[in-house]
Amino acid sequence: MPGALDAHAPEFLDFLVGESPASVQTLYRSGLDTLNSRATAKYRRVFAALDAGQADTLLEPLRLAWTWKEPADSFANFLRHAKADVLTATVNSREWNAVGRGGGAGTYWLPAE
Amino acid sequence: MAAQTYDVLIIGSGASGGMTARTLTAKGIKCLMLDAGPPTNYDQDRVSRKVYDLPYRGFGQPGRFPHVTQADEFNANVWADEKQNPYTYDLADPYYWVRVRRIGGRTLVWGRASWRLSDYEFKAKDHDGFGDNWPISYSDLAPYYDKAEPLFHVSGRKEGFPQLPDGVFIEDTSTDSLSMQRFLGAAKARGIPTTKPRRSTGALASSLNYLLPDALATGNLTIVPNAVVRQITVDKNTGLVNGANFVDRHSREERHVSARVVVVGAGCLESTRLLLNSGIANSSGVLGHYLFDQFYVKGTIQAIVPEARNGKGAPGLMGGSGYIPRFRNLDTKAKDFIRGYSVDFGSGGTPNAKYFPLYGEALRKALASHRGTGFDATTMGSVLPRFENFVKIDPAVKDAWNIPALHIQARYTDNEFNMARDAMNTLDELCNAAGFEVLEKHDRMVPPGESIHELGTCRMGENPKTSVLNKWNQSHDVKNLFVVDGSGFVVGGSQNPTLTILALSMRASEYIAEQMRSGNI
Repeated sequence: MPGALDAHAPEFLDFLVGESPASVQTLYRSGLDTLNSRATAKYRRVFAALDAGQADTLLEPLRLAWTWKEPADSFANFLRHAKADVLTATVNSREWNAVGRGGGAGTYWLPAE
Repeated sequence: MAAQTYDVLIIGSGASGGMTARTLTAKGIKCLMLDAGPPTNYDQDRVSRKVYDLPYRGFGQPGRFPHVTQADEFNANVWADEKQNPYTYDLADPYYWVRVRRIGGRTLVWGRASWRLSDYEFKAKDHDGFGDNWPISYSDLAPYYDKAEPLFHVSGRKEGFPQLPDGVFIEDTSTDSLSMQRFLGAAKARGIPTTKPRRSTGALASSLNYLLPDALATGNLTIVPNAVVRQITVDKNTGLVNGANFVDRHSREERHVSARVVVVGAGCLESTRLLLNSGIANSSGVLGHYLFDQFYVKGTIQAIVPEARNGKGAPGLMGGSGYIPRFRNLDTKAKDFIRGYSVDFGSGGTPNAKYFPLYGEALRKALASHRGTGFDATTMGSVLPRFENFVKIDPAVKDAWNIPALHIQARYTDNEFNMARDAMNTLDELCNAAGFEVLEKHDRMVPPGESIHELGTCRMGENPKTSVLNKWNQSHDVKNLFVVDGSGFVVGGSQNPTLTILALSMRASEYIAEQMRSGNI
């Protein structure tokens, strides 16, 4: 199956977050800053340059059971939102549709005017 | 149009406005319908699109609908624009007001659940002592439910429940999957009733398809779209209403129409807003008060059926849906709340990725192994009508047509919170007894309003000092003014309200026709 990179999810989310309210932009900006600062402190590399095992050590909040109460910790909250957004951006991509999964059709209401 | 005096002016084209038009025009009464939105044509207004071809990949334009969680990128153009149609609330008490401004109203997007109320609602005060009774009984409305259900092709199964009266159904003869049988068995063992969903069927079931065509076919209905009603007008000599002022949504031309009778069915809070802005029908001082709805706990429980993992479920294990009608506080008494809740449940979905504390390849494998294994349930609870939950005009805020906006104040209380907790615990018990694995449970309600079942604020009653409308949905103050949507509700129960709105508006319309024929209005 195409992954998030194959589906161009990063580029799409960069566009989506750029269009989003300030609260969402702040969540992403501070979350990514925290991710990179923790990666740099621990491995002297930015997060994107880590191997999978190293990345896992920083994504620990995603391995906690999900509850309806949003995490008090803003980094954990960022990871929760990012997981959902990355998944949706991937599943709803042209690349997923091309392999017969996700990216389905729906009934679209045209603008009234 | 402007020079003609119509028999009846109908404001709104949704469930209540559509039913009013259908009923009155069939009796030869000339009606004019105003609606704030554009015409709707299912064939021309909708197209098939791939989600990846949408500008936001299905996410929707960020920030466009902060209070409409039902909006997605496919249906975004159905909902009323929140910038053009603002409202206010105290930040501590957010209210989600969900509106549609198109011919057909919210029946264009409704969930189609079609339940009758019973005397547990109409005579609720008699049962538990809280609040007020409706000025009518179930027997008054039953004949109109009988006529509304066939119009909307309601399917269901007759059960004989006193709290959920049977109707004129297309009989639901579907069988239950094995997982559903386990859940139903667990409920039955605990004395909790269940039934099949009761819902309107047929493609595009709406006022647009099921009500307005019949009315138009009589030749007695004129529909004016894009007509934003500013004010209902009053004859100063008689005190009776005589029409309405409206503004054309596009040209912004101000116009007036005349009518012998005015029927308001603009959709609960819009109707009350119009009356408040018109300065009429409020000698009681309760216009705007007693706002309530049904509280929702969406996804109260998410479970899985373990045997279905990895596609290994036996044939017929998964699938189907059902409903638990209110069962609390009928013959027994719950310890910390009055009235009760209902539950929608279903088998065979795939749990959302959020329920799995995984990511990457591990998440992909988990989703694949749990495809179609889910069992989930949503709670819908009765909200007590309270005077202190209300709407009023916010003079500081006006809509795109310079019409004063509403301020909405609504807050749930311990009765609702305790009820939600009881629902969560009950569903947890039922799922465990059925052998399901519970992934997550919760009792967190969506904000007031989000269920799109707002009710009250223009309530019916026997006493003109404590109610706005009489038992015929007729203003106590102005005898040729009627309000026929959900704003007239006194008590709502936990059942979706649309079928009752249809029956009430049909009943009110037959009364209007008779009163007009006899010259009383």
